[in-house]
Amino acid sequence: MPTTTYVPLGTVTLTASASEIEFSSIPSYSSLVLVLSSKSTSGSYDQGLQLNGDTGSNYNNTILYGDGSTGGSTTINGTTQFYLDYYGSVTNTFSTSTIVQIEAADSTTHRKIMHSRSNRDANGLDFIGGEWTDSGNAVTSITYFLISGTLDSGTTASLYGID
Amino acid sequence: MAETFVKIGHQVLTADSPTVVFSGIPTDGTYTDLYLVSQVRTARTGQPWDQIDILPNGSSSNLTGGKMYSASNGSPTSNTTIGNYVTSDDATLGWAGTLTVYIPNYASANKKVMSLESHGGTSSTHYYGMFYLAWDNSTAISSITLDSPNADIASDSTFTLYGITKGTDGTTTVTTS
Repeated sequence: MPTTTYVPLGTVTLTASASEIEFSSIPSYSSLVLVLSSKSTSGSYDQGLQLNGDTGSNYNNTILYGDGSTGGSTTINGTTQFYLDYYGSVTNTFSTSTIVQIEAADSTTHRKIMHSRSNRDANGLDFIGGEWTDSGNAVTSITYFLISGTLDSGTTASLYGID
Repeated sequence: MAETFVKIGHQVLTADSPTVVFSGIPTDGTYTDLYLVSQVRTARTGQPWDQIDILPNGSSSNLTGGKMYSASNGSPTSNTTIGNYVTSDDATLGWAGTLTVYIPNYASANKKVMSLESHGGTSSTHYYGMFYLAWDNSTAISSITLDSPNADIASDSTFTLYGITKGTDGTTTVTTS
Protein backbone atom coordinates (compact mmCIF):
# COMPACT_ATOMS: atom_id res chain seq x y z
CA MET A 1 0.00 0.00 0.00
CA PRO A 2 1.55 3.34 -0.98
CA THR A 3 2.14 5.78 1.83
CA THR A 4 -0.21 8.72 1.87
CA THR A 5 1.79 11.89 1.64
CA TYR A 6 1.36 15.61 1.18
CA VAL A 7 -1.06 15.39 4.06
CA PRO A 8 -3.09 18.51 4.87
CA LEU A 9 -2.33 19.34 8.51
CA GLY A 10 -4.06 22.63 9.13
CA THR A 11 -5.50 25.65 7.39
CA VAL A 12 -6.91 29.00 8.30
CA THR A 13 -8.51 31.91 6.55
CA LEU A 14 -8.46 34.94 8.79
CA THR A 15 -11.86 36.39 9.54
CA ALA A 16 -10.30 39.33 11.39
CA SER A 17 -6.90 40.97 11.47
CA ALA A 18 -4.19 39.15 13.45
CA SER A 19 -0.59 39.63 14.47
CA GLU A 20 0.35 36.04 13.85
CA ILE A 21 -0.80 32.58 12.82
CA GLU A 22 0.54 29.63 14.76
CA PHE A 23 0.45 25.96 13.79
CA SER A 24 1.21 23.82 16.85
CA SER A 25 1.20 20.12 17.83
CA ILE A 26 2.57 19.36 14.35
CA PRO A 27 3.14 15.59 13.94
CA SER A 28 6.42 14.16 12.71
CA TYR A 29 7.04 14.67 8.99
CA SER A 30 10.33 14.86 7.15
CA SER A 31 9.20 17.97 5.28
CA LEU A 32 6.58 20.61 5.91
CA VAL A 33 5.06 22.89 3.26
CA LEU A 34 3.31 26.14 4.10
CA VAL A 35 1.30 27.91 1.40
CA LEU A 36 0.42 31.56 2.03
CA SER A 37 -1.78 34.13 0.33
CA SER A 38 -1.39 37.18 2.49
CA LYS A 39 -2.64 40.71 2.88
CA SER A 40 -1.67 43.41 5.37
CA THR A 41 -4.07 45.82 7.03
CA SER A 42 -2.00 48.66 5.55
CA GLY A 43 1.46 49.23 4.18
CA SER A 44 4.12 46.83 2.94
CA TYR A 45 5.87 44.37 5.23
CA ASP A 46 8.25 41.45 5.02
CA GLN A 47 7.08 38.07 6.19
CA GLY A 48 8.70 36.22 9.07
CA LEU A 49 8.59 32.67 10.37
CA GLN A 50 9.72 31.19 13.67
CA LEU A 51 10.04 27.53 14.61
CA ASN A 52 9.10 26.08 17.99
CA GLY A 53 8.62 29.59 19.36
CA ASP A 54 12.35 30.33 19.12
CA THR A 55 12.81 34.11 19.23
CA GLY A 56 16.59 33.97 19.51
CA SER A 57 19.04 35.08 16.84
CA ASN A 58 19.19 31.59 15.41
CA TYR A 59 18.06 32.04 11.83
CA ASN A 60 20.29 32.48 8.78
CA ASN A 61 18.97 33.62 5.42
CA THR A 62 20.56 33.56 1.96
CA ILE A 63 18.48 35.53 -0.49
CA LEU A 64 18.26 35.44 -4.28
CA TYR A 65 16.03 38.20 -5.58
CA GLY A 66 14.69 39.92 -8.65
CA ASP A 67 13.04 43.32 -8.44
CA GLY A 68 11.92 43.59 -12.03
CA SER A 69 15.08 45.24 -13.29
CA THR A 70 17.94 43.74 -11.32
CA GLY A 71 18.72 40.30 -10.03
CA GLY A 72 21.04 39.75 -7.11
CA SER A 73 21.72 38.03 -3.86
CA THR A 74 22.44 38.87 -0.27
CA THR A 75 22.77 37.21 3.10
CA ILE A 76 21.16 38.14 6.41
CA ASN A 77 22.36 35.96 9.25
CA GLY A 78 21.67 35.83 12.95
CA THR A 79 18.11 37.08 12.70
CA THR A 80 15.30 36.36 15.11
CA GLN A 81 13.13 34.83 12.38
CA PHE A 82 13.34 33.40 8.93
CA TYR A 83 12.81 36.01 6.25
CA LEU A 84 10.32 34.64 3.76
CA ASP A 85 10.75 37.45 1.26
CA TYR A 86 12.93 40.34 0.16
CA TYR A 87 10.98 41.95 -2.68
CA GLY A 88 8.05 39.54 -2.46
CA SER A 89 6.63 41.37 0.53
CA VAL A 90 2.99 41.70 1.58
CA THR A 91 0.75 44.70 0.88
CA ASN A 92 -2.84 45.62 1.59
CA THR A 93 -3.99 43.97 -1.62
CA PHE A 94 -3.88 40.28 -2.39
CA SER A 95 -0.76 40.58 -4.50
CA THR A 96 1.60 38.15 -2.79
CA SER A 97 1.87 34.39 -2.75
CA THR A 98 4.50 32.52 -0.80
CA ILE A 99 5.39 28.85 -0.62
CA VAL A 100 7.65 27.68 2.19
CA GLN A 101 9.24 24.27 2.58
CA ILE A 102 11.02 23.12 5.75
CA GLU A 103 13.34 20.16 5.36
CA ALA A 104 14.49 17.76 8.06
CA ALA A 105 11.55 18.93 10.12
CA ASP A 106 11.47 15.71 12.12
CA SER A 107 15.21 15.48 12.70
CA THR A 108 16.68 15.65 16.18
CA THR A 109 20.24 15.62 14.85
CA HIS A 110 20.26 17.99 11.89
CA ARG A 111 19.70 21.70 11.47
CA LYS A 112 16.44 22.56 9.74
CA ILE A 113 16.62 24.03 6.25
CA MET A 114 13.95 26.37 4.96
CA HIS A 115 13.23 27.28 1.34
CA SER A 116 10.88 30.14 0.61
CA ARG A 117 9.59 31.27 -2.74
CA SER A 118 7.69 34.57 -2.60
CA ASN A 119 6.05 36.55 -5.39
CA ARG A 120 4.63 40.05 -5.19
CA ASP A 121 2.89 41.46 -8.20
CA ALA A 122 4.55 44.60 -9.60
CA ASN A 123 7.40 44.43 -7.09
CA GLY A 124 9.50 41.30 -7.43
CA LEU A 125 10.17 37.75 -6.43
CA ASP A 126 12.62 35.92 -4.20
CA PHE A 127 14.06 32.55 -3.43
CA ILE A 128 15.43 32.31 0.10
CA GLY A 129 17.36 29.47 1.63
CA GLY A 130 17.35 29.57 5.40
CA GLU A 131 18.86 27.62 8.26
CA TRP A 132 17.62 27.25 11.81
CA THR A 133 20.66 26.54 13.92
CA ASP A 134 18.81 24.32 16.38
CA SER A 135 19.62 20.73 15.55
CA GLY A 136 18.27 18.89 18.57
CA ASN A 137 14.56 19.45 18.28
CA ALA A 138 11.99 18.39 15.70
CA VAL A 139 9.69 21.11 14.48
CA THR A 140 6.42 21.00 16.40
CA SER A 141 5.21 24.55 15.89
CA ILE A 142 5.42 27.24 13.22
CA THR A 143 4.56 30.88 13.76
CA TYR A 144 3.92 33.10 10.74
CA PHE A 145 3.68 36.89 10.92
CA LEU A 146 4.45 40.14 9.20
CA ILE A 147 7.54 41.82 10.57
CA SER A 148 6.15 44.97 12.23
CA GLY A 149 2.85 44.59 10.37
CA THR A 150 -0.60 43.10 10.85
CA LEU A 151 -2.21 40.37 8.76
CA ASP A 152 -5.60 41.27 7.41
CA SER A 153 -8.84 39.37 7.12
CA GLY A 154 -8.83 37.00 4.16
CA THR A 155 -5.22 35.94 4.58
CA THR A 156 -4.93 32.17 4.10
CA ALA A 157 -2.29 29.81 5.46
CA SER A 158 -2.25 26.08 4.79
CA LEU A 159 0.23 23.54 6.14
CA TYR A 160 1.06 20.15 4.63
CA GLY A 161 3.27 17.29 5.77
CA ILE A 162 5.46 15.18 3.48
CA ASP A 163 7.17 11.89 4.28
CA MET B 1 -6.50 10.57 6.78
CA ALA B 2 -7.30 12.92 3.95
CA GLU B 3 -5.27 12.63 0.81
CA THR B 4 -4.42 15.55 -1.40
CA PHE B 5 -2.24 16.21 -4.42
CA VAL B 6 -4.59 14.38 -6.77
CA LYS B 7 -3.72 13.95 -10.43
CA ILE B 8 -6.61 15.51 -12.31
CA GLY B 9 -5.18 15.70 -15.79
CA HIS B 10 -2.33 14.26 -17.83
CA GLN B 11 -1.40 14.86 -21.43
CA VAL B 12 1.40 13.53 -23.60
CA LEU B 13 1.55 15.17 -27.01
CA THR B 14 1.63 12.73 -29.89
CA ALA B 15 2.04 15.51 -32.44
CA ASP B 16 3.28 19.09 -32.39
CA SER B 17 0.63 21.52 -31.15
CA PRO B 18 0.50 25.29 -30.62
CA THR B 19 -1.39 24.90 -27.35
CA VAL B 20 -2.14 22.48 -24.55
CA VAL B 21 -5.38 22.99 -22.66
CA PHE B 22 -6.63 21.65 -19.35
CA SER B 23 -10.32 22.43 -19.07
CA GLY B 24 -13.15 21.50 -16.75
CA ILE B 25 -11.05 22.13 -13.68
CA PRO B 26 -13.42 21.88 -10.67
CA THR B 27 -14.17 25.20 -9.01
CA ASP B 28 -16.57 23.83 -6.40
CA GLY B 29 -14.00 23.60 -3.61
CA THR B 30 -12.91 20.05 -4.40
CA TYR B 31 -9.41 21.47 -4.72
CA THR B 32 -7.96 24.69 -3.39
CA ASP B 33 -4.62 24.87 -5.22
CA LEU B 34 -3.33 23.65 -8.57
CA TYR B 35 0.12 22.36 -9.47
CA LEU B 36 1.24 21.77 -13.03
CA VAL B 37 4.34 19.79 -13.83
CA SER B 38 5.63 19.56 -17.36
CA GLN B 39 8.53 18.30 -19.37
CA VAL B 40 8.39 20.39 -22.46
CA ARG B 41 10.23 21.41 -25.57
CA THR B 42 9.11 23.35 -28.60
CA ALA B 43 9.82 23.11 -32.30
CA ARG B 44 11.66 26.41 -32.32
CA THR B 45 15.04 26.21 -33.96
CA GLY B 46 18.07 28.42 -33.72
CA GLN B 47 17.61 29.24 -30.04
CA PRO B 48 18.34 27.21 -26.93
CA TRP B 49 15.21 28.52 -25.26
CA ASP B 50 11.61 29.32 -26.01
CA GLN B 51 8.60 30.62 -24.16
CA ILE B 52 5.39 29.10 -22.97
CA ASP B 53 2.61 31.48 -21.95
CA ILE B 54 0.11 30.52 -19.26
CA LEU B 55 -3.40 31.75 -20.04
CA PRO B 56 -5.92 31.31 -17.20
CA ASN B 57 -9.35 30.59 -18.69
CA GLY B 58 -7.72 31.22 -22.06
CA SER B 59 -7.29 34.90 -21.24
CA SER B 60 -4.26 37.02 -21.98
CA SER B 61 -5.84 40.07 -20.30
CA ASN B 62 -5.17 41.41 -16.82
CA LEU B 63 -1.93 39.49 -16.61
CA THR B 64 1.22 40.93 -15.10
CA GLY B 65 4.40 39.17 -14.27
CA GLY B 66 8.06 39.21 -13.50
CA LYS B 67 11.00 36.96 -13.59
CA MET B 68 14.49 36.31 -12.36
CA TYR B 69 16.65 34.11 -14.52
CA SER B 70 20.16 33.12 -15.28
CA ALA B 71 21.81 31.70 -18.35
CA SER B 72 24.48 29.10 -17.69
CA ASN B 73 26.96 30.69 -15.31
CA GLY B 74 25.77 34.26 -15.85
CA SER B 75 24.58 36.62 -13.15
CA PRO B 76 20.87 36.63 -12.43
CA THR B 77 18.75 39.07 -14.41
CA SER B 78 15.28 40.37 -13.67
CA ASN B 79 12.51 42.04 -15.67
CA THR B 80 8.76 42.38 -15.67
CA THR B 81 7.76 40.85 -18.97
CA ILE B 82 5.35 37.97 -18.90
CA GLY B 83 5.59 34.79 -20.85
CA ASN B 84 9.10 34.08 -22.02
CA TYR B 85 9.33 31.02 -19.85
CA VAL B 86 12.50 29.35 -20.89
CA THR B 87 12.17 25.89 -22.27
CA SER B 88 14.30 24.11 -24.76
CA ASP B 89 14.05 23.75 -28.48
CA ASP B 90 14.22 20.45 -30.26
CA ALA B 91 17.63 20.95 -31.75
CA THR B 92 18.99 18.43 -29.31
CA LEU B 93 16.74 15.40 -29.35
CA GLY B 94 16.22 13.81 -26.02
CA TRP B 95 16.56 17.07 -24.18
CA ALA B 96 13.50 18.65 -22.64
CA GLY B 97 13.02 21.58 -20.37
CA THR B 98 10.81 21.66 -17.31
CA LEU B 99 8.08 24.04 -16.30
CA THR B 100 6.20 23.95 -13.02
CA VAL B 101 3.34 26.20 -12.02
CA TYR B 102 1.79 26.49 -8.54
CA ILE B 103 -1.52 28.36 -8.29
CA PRO B 104 -2.74 28.89 -4.72
CA ASN B 105 -6.42 29.64 -4.16
CA TYR B 106 -7.20 29.32 -7.85
CA ALA B 107 -10.95 29.61 -7.28
CA SER B 108 -10.67 32.73 -5.14
CA ALA B 109 -12.27 36.02 -6.13
CA ASN B 110 -8.97 37.72 -5.28
CA LYS B 111 -6.03 38.28 -7.60
CA LYS B 112 -4.37 34.96 -8.36
CA VAL B 113 -0.58 35.09 -7.98
CA MET B 114 1.10 32.06 -9.54
CA SER B 115 4.59 30.81 -8.80
CA LEU B 116 6.52 29.34 -11.72
CA GLU B 117 9.92 27.79 -12.27
CA SER B 118 11.50 26.54 -15.43
CA HIS B 119 14.68 25.14 -16.82
CA GLY B 120 15.65 24.68 -20.41
CA GLY B 121 18.35 24.91 -22.98
CA THR B 122 20.82 22.55 -24.49
CA SER B 123 23.73 20.64 -23.10
CA SER B 124 25.93 23.71 -23.58
CA THR B 125 23.57 26.55 -22.63
CA HIS B 126 21.19 26.31 -19.70
CA TYR B 127 18.54 28.74 -18.62
CA TYR B 128 16.96 28.62 -15.21
CA GLY B 129 14.22 30.98 -14.24
CA MET B 130 11.76 31.82 -11.50
CA PHE B 131 8.63 33.70 -12.45
CA TYR B 132 5.43 35.00 -11.09
CA LEU B 133 2.27 35.60 -13.01
CA ALA B 134 -0.61 37.56 -11.50
CA TRP B 135 -4.11 37.37 -12.95
CA ASP B 136 -6.24 40.23 -11.66
CA ASN B 137 -9.64 38.71 -12.25
CA SER B 138 -12.33 37.67 -9.77
CA THR B 139 -13.31 34.62 -11.82
CA ALA B 140 -12.24 31.18 -10.68
CA ILE B 141 -9.75 29.43 -12.93
CA SER B 142 -11.54 26.58 -14.68
CA SER B 143 -9.08 26.09 -17.53
CA ILE B 144 -5.40 26.56 -18.19
CA THR B 145 -4.01 27.07 -21.67
CA LEU B 146 -0.31 26.68 -22.34
CA ASP B 147 0.44 28.65 -25.45
CA SER B 148 3.67 28.65 -27.43
CA PRO B 149 3.71 31.77 -29.61
CA ASN B 150 6.97 31.16 -31.46
CA ALA B 151 6.68 27.55 -32.47
CA ASP B 152 4.57 24.52 -31.70
CA ILE B 153 4.96 22.62 -28.50
CA ALA B 154 6.75 19.49 -29.60
CA SER B 155 5.42 15.97 -29.49
CA ASP B 156 6.39 13.89 -26.48
CA SER B 157 6.03 16.92 -24.23
CA THR B 158 4.28 15.83 -21.05
CA PHE B 159 1.95 17.78 -18.80
CA THR B 160 0.40 16.70 -15.51
CA LEU B 161 -2.03 18.77 -13.49
CA TYR B 162 -2.61 18.10 -9.80
CA GLY B 163 -5.35 19.36 -7.54
CA ILE B 164 -4.38 20.09 -3.96
CA THR B 165 -6.86 20.28 -1.11
CA LYS B 166 -6.08 22.05 2.11
CA GLY B 167 -7.54 20.69 5.30
CA THR B 168 -6.82 19.48 8.82
CA ASP B 169 -5.43 16.29 10.31
CA GLY B 170 -7.18 16.59 13.66
CA THR B 171 -3.89 16.86 15.51
CA THR B 172 -2.29 20.08 14.35
CA THR B 173 -3.77 23.15 15.99
CA VAL B 174 -4.09 26.51 14.28
CA THR B 175 -4.44 29.63 16.40
CA THR B 176 -4.35 33.33 15.63
CA SER B 177 -3.62 36.22 17.91
